[in-house]
Amino acid sequence: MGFTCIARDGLGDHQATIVQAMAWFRGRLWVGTGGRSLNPMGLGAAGLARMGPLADLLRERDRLRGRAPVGARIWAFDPASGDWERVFASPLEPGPDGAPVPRDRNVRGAIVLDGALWMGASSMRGQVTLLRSVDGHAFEEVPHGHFGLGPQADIPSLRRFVAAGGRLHTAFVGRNQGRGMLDDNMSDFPAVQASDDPLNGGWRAVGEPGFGDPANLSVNELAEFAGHLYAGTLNPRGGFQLWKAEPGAYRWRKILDRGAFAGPVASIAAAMIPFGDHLYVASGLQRQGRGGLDRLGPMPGELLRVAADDSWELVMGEPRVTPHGLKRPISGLGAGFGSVFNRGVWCLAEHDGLLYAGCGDIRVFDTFIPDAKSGLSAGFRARMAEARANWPGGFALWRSADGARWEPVTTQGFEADRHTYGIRELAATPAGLFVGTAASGAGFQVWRSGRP
Amino acid sequence: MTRPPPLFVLAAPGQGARPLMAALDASPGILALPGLHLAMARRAGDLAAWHARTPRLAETLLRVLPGALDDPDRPTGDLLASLAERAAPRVMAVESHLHLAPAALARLAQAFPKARWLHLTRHPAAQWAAYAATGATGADPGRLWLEPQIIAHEFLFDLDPARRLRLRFEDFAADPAGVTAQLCAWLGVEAPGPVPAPPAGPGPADVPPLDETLRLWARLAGYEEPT
Repeated sequence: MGFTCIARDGLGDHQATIVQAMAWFRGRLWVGTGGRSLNPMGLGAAGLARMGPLADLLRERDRLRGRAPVGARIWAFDPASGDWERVFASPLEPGPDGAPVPRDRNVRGAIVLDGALWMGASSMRGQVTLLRSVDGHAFEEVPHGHFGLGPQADIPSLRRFVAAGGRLHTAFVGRNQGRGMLDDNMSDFPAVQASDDPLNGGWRAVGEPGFGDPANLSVNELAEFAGHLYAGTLNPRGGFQLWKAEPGAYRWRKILDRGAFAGPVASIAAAMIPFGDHLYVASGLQRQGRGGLDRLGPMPGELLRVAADDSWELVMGEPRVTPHGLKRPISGLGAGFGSVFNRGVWCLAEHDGLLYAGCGDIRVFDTFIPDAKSGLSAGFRARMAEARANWPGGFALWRSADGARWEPVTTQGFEADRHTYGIRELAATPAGLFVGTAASGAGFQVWRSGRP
Repeated sequence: MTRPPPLFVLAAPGQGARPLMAALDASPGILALPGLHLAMARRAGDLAAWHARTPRLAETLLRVLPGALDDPDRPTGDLLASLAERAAPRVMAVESHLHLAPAALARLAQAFPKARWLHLTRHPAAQWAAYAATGATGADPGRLWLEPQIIAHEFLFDLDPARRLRLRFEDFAADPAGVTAQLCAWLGVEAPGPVPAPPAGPGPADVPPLDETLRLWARLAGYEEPT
């Protein structure tokens, strides 16, 4: 299966590093992109203040390197003409020093609902903005009434939209107030939100925060499967949890605990999709910079599948003893599809009857290389450093017809490129399968299945 | 006779290997050997020199494998292979905390390329309590847990995932029959009937606070809040 690059270098802005939402609407592919947050290292104002003079050095470094927040953008691709049109760019507002800065950081979440395209624009400092387009050209901002949480609520971003039971559902991710560099997946409001009239607000939480467990720091993934709404959490303490409920009644039941018994190395439910008779759930370790488990070497992600009766199988991952019996990967593949440097599946899509899994590679960053403090041997640490030095770049894309037997489409990306390290979004469309990437130090790319 | 690949259980002192081995030995498809520490030495001659200080081990070895130490140049891996032959068609299960050393693990891996490996862990505080209850002294609580953990991690890192399994002793203690049945399924042997329950462990000992590195490794082993 060949792929053709239809967008590279962030469509003219190499600081637009990531695709975080894609949807097919009115015969065009809609791509939401983003890049840096407002401050160095993604820190909030309070975090920078705590750094004292070091913050000034970081600002100066970013200035010298020409690093600036590019803001959220939405692009539309016409597969017939091959043309791109920029249909939305974040409005500007005065920044901390008075100079204009983008209001919105990126676009996360997209859904076509009742003949309109909805997308979520993440805010640099305020609350997420709901964008809606009916005609496929202009976007309107849909008032959300602060999701019923008040104007001071720290709800800068959302992760996913799911329509089920006549309601639109979403959940918040990210924190701006007191923000640290790795707050993108956490939320002060880790609960599923629902509205039966999203055009007029009406949002409310449909479950306890964290499902009653304070260790659940966000609801990172949502999906509908077999008449139920499923929610996957971020839980660095014990490992992700998977909950399900009937839309409307919202009596939540925990289906999986402790990262499907892999523990804290499976801290986050990173992607979910129904395929055939199962819901597929990808898990992994949320990146922790130079702290946390990252310091002990690479931690590859896993993929499992849950049936409507709540039984589950390990698709690829580490064999283990569990309260639900011995779990061995039905694919025969270990975690990371057999590569310890595959940090996990970031997105899933069904296209032409096949299930596709887009992955990220850890070797783009050096944070997985253990230091002496880790206790790991010098030989092991040197091996990890060597693995990064020899990494040719790229990412893995796998596919399966039955969810059990998998084959790689690629394990090194679509071209030699040490900047592009992951597939952040997949979109299955009548015009082919589209792949949106994440990069470090380069702009995003979009690839389309098929040869030119 | 087909000799099934052996099972090597990696566990540091105080991590509950003894009750686990007893449970495995209850399966008709498994022969769990006493801790003979064979792979700690490269050759039989080296082993004999070490056994000279621990005559009981030498007696046990010679009882199960007469003449084992006659040829001082005989590789210890060859001794284990002979024991595996005698155990066949049962799976030979071997546990020794002295195998938790890079050289010993390399010897075992070379002698048994298809071996299965079970890494048994226990919460650091519980391990220390169990260790202290034996009256042993002189070990550092942190190092007692951490060093074997890291050695096992590095060794298992590259191993085929189908041949390795990690197990928390706490999970075994909570359901010894169920966990033993899962282990037997993994090994492809019949599960035992009744499984001896592990003895209740000692209470928490007076353990110094775990440092940051130890806490991190304990999280990796699946312990949420090491104290």
